[in-house]
Amino acid sequence: MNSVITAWEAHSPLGRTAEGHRQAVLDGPAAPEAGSRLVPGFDIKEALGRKGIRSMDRATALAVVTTGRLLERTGLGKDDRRCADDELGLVLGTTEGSLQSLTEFDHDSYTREKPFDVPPSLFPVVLMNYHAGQCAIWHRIKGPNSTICGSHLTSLLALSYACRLQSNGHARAVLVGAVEECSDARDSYEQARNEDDPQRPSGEGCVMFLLEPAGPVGKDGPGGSGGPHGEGAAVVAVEFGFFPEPDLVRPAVRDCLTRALDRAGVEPGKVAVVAPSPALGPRGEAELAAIAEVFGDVPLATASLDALGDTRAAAAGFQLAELLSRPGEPGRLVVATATDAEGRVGCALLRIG
Amino acid sequence: MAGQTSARRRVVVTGLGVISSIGLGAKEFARALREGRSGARTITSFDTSGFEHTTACEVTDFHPEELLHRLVPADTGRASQLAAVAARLAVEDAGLAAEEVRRRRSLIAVGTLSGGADEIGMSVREQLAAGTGAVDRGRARRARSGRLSADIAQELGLLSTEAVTVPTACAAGNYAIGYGFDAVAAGEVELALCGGADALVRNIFVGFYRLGTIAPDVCRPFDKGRQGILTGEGSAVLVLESLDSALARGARVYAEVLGHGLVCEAHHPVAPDRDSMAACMSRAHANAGITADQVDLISAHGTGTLANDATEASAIHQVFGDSPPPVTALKSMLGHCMGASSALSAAACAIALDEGFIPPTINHIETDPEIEIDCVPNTARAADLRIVQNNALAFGGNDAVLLMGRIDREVRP
Repeated sequence: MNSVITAWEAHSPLGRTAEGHRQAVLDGPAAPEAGSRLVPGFDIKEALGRKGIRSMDRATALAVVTTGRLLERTGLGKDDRRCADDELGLVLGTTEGSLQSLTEFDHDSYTREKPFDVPPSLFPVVLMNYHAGQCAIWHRIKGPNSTICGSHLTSLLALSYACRLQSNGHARAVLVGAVEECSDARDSYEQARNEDDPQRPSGEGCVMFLLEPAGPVGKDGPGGSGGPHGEGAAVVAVEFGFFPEPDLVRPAVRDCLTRALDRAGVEPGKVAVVAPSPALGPRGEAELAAIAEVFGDVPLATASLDALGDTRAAAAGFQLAELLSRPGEPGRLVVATATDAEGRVGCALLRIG
Repeated sequence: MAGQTSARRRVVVTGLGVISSIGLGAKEFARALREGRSGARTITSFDTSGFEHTTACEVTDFHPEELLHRLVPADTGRASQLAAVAARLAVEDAGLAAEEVRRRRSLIAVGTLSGGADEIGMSVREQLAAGTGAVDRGRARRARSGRLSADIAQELGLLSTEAVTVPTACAAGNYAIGYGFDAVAAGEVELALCGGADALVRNIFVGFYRLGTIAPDVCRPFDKGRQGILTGEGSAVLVLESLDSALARGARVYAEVLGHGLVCEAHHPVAPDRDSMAACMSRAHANAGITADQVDLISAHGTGTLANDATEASAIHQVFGDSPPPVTALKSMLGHCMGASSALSAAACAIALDEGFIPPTINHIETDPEIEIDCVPNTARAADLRIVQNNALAFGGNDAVLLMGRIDREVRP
């Protein structure tokens, strides 16, 4: 891998800036109340103004605000950009787009006089690539614009995708992350899916990372290793696996971690901390057992899990954000792991600094 | 734009799995392309009362229970079924034993527009009828769009695979294939199963209907009298591996993937932008290391709407000058299969390169005088094709162009 995270930004139940989110992780977030974990006080009109938000869903607004702030403070804002518009890519993860918008669209179609009597401006909103397309329009991002979907592995799949975009010359700098919104529709689907299994309350938010090429920094090029913002981490490996049977979670996570370590030439004992996914129940237990099997008694980074709830597509992104909130010494190796209900497992190995 | 950081492996297509309204399986699909078969028929998969136009390109005669080995069809959404069956057909077409597929490190990338959204629409209807907010458990589970890729891993029993769904709307197939290409070319995976899948989904029909873009009878891309799209469904999965791997196992090679380009128009949620489309084609040429004059055929996005065809043709002229190569529009036969469209087109391009013919743009009466292109009207044409370009454009301004080439006869096994 040849990519470096040089900055990150978040809009989450823990805070409406990266700094707020980071401080909450360091302080230990306050015990949350019951119910969905919302981004406190987030309102689309307040965040984006009244223009250009007709029919816009909450997830899109969260993504537009988060990407905008990340671009602004890394010298990539549209009015003062240190690279060409088409050298900048965006990779945004989602579980299912805006399920709330989709159910409202279907509801209108079934209840109005004509089945096609739906608001035309809502049609693009129900498509899963709407969030990413709006970020591109708002911030004039004209390089590759990709939407990535894969349940709780989404953020890691997006990170892998973004690294490949970069290493294959499709973009110089890539914004990569994921977004989720809380909604009644989402809750009703999650309840129906998981009625027998323990689950965390729904959580929402957007977390975005700026990915730049590693190596020498050109005069006009992006930041490079370490980055200008003191948030640097090299992406050493992103690895995936699959468990075709439910009782194979533990070996799948173990083998995935082993492959990542082998690929990177890293001894398990060198890993300082592991951030596991928010999974509960047998799958979550198997994930933790695999971590213990590979790393022994390694510290776990779990400070933000309760306060975030289940942020699905964004979950692994928030795990990485927690790791980067307590970076420690340069050279420190950190790992995030994840599993999902569809059979995927994955991990990311980062080197701080 | 920075070039590739290291020498890429050559990547070839060694298997095709196709489910379409004009034929199931690579052989039947190839025959249909040559005949210029039409997939248009009256919609049966949802209730069309209240709509004046009721034609779409539905897949009929699809029996997943006969084709799936591990997945249970009743627990699997239609788009996932289409993806998983296409993957199984592709692997069989490639002559890869199940154990060999399991042994290799792989990437699964499935493009889609709707994913499992058909289940959500049906659920809304059932909830309204029952007067309850409760969602059926089976529908909730089948509605997961991430499953389109995960279910392929499940169906094939894979362990060492990266399974990703790429929901970049109507260009998603090209995104997924481009991603598979990059992963194989870099030597990061030894096998990519990539393509696209979409079921015929009522709310997509509703949306396009509301925009006034559903054709009353057939889809006539580039025609003076074109009246819009027909929605469609289907799937295509391509098996990609390195040329060395294909040669080592004596595999049949359909074509080589040469490169791809991606841009975002960043302009409007639904209106197409000529300059961005042109930039995307140029980017793809640069990525593939070719020039526009080397392209022998363009498989157009070619939806048959007034706006798309005029804008796309204009972008083609911008890149290719006054005499572009022939431009065929497969949506005339297949309808607009959304995220599966460019995957089906890529499969058609591989077949065209392998067999040496251009599939036609059917339903053609009179080319729009504003569109000065040769759209290969109505009848397939024999052609010595070396390089073929596959265009895909999407809502959200997601443009993706894929380039494929004929593999030299002398290196064919």
